[in-house]
Amino acid sequence: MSGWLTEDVLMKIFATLEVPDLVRVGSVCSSWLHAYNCLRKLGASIQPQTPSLIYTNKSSGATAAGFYSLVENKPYTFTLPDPPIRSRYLIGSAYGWVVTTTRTHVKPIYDSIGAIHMYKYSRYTGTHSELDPPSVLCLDKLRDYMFHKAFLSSDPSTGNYIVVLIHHPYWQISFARGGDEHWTWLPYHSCYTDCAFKDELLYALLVDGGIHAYNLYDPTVKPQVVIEGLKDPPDDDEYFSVSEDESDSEVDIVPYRHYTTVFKVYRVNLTAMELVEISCLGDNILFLGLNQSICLCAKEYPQLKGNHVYFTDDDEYMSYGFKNKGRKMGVFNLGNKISEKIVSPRIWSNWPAPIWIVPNPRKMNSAFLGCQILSSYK
Amino acid sequence: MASEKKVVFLRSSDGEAFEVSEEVISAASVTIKGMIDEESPSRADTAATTTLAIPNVTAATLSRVLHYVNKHFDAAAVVGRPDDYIFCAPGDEHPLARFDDDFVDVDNDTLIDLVHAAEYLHIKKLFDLTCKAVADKLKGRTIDQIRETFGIVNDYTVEEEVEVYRENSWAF
Repeated sequence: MSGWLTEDVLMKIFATLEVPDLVRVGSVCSSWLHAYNCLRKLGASIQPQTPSLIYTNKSSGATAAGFYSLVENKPYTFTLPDPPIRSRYLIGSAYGWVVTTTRTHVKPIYDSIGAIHMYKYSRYTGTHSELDPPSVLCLDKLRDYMFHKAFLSSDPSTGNYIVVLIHHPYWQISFARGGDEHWTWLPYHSCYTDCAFKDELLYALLVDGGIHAYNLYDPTVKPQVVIEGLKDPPDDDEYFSVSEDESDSEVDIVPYRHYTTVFKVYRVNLTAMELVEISCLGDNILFLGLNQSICLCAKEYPQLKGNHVYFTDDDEYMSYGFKNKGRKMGVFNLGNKISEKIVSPRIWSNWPAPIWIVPNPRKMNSAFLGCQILSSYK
Repeated sequence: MASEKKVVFLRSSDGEAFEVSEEVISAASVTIKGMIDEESPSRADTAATTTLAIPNVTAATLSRVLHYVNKHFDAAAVVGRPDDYIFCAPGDEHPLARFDDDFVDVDNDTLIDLVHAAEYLHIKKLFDLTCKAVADKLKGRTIDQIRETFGIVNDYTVEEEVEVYRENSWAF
């Protein structure tokens, strides 16, 4: 070979690779390892990674996580630190992190002994006679009931970030900044189903398609109605999620019908403050589930299919004693309304449910795979 | 009267000279444009053709590079050739996509030489293309396959190898 490549050139080449390839080339020899480590420290130039699935499999052991690459259509297995991944709920994923709750660390949001003693308080004014009486749950059960989905405002490794949680009762929102000891409850409304951060605001989506904006940096934070809910909202078995289409700064939202697995897409027109149903995503691709919803463009991800929705199950009833229920997962074609399996036969256990993650090559160390684990807040 | 097109000669490391349009190579190569700009004051009052030494690039590689440059940076060549099936297949997003694919479909030594040349001559499009082609040869390969393909020796110490294995073996 006539004079191998300089480190700068190696880094440029490596920067175009997806995570499993990147890790392999970084292991070839000492100079390639050095280039690989330099690239990860610089970070910024590495190409955006394709979403992959994080899952567990009973036969692989309690601390083993699976990583399914959509680029290679290939599963990998790696080990995560305790507490075992199979004892956790995976309730969110963003910036290469997975947000989990654990059996041992979980604490209730409202009470130190495990009772949700504010349960009868209204979502709005403090009194609401129609609501169920308070429930008292042990910590273990509380964890099962409490958390629905978590969201990150930015990469937690920067130290400057906000975690937002949709939780029970009634799918309300609380948030915490990095380093906070407690959650801040936003008791103004309920029945949220998804969230997205955009322009320093939290956009919280309601089950009827309405959208509220919160400025979490404002000490007197109050919801601002951005979009009214649909007059004819989706059925009970449909759930919305929201993701930002970066190409034109619009926001797409998608109701996801669990039992039939059909998706309808609405475009959010923030100027006209309305939802417009659209039949086609064009080149866009949605990744939905308990991950922070993602919208990508197929032109930049040739292995993925445009006008498709890649989905994992975000059905919260899996928490309520249905852990072994089968999971709805697949790739839905908005053109012909047909879902295909991601991989067959199934390689993941039903619980904890698989979740999409965009690997962060900068965070890979000790077989963490860029999937750092952000344990739940106290 | 249209002014006659200026040409320059590029002399490869092994002494072969190649003629190329000054306008085309200046648009393509930052390095050569710099060389030409440096030469300019002394050329203003002479009709003599400039010959630039390219000491880092062999004739075989330089000839390939110029083939690429003429295809990509000569506006006349890029535009009026709709019937040229090699360069424009139906459905190609870019009319030169097929040409590019064929251009980098070469053995590893040749490809690496092209990367070096594109880097030295500062031809960004060619550098991007050849780097991507090298990356494509790395994709989906095992470490042993990569070492074999590119003739790379595993030079880790035992301790280093253990460490690398511990960190990265999940992807092996």
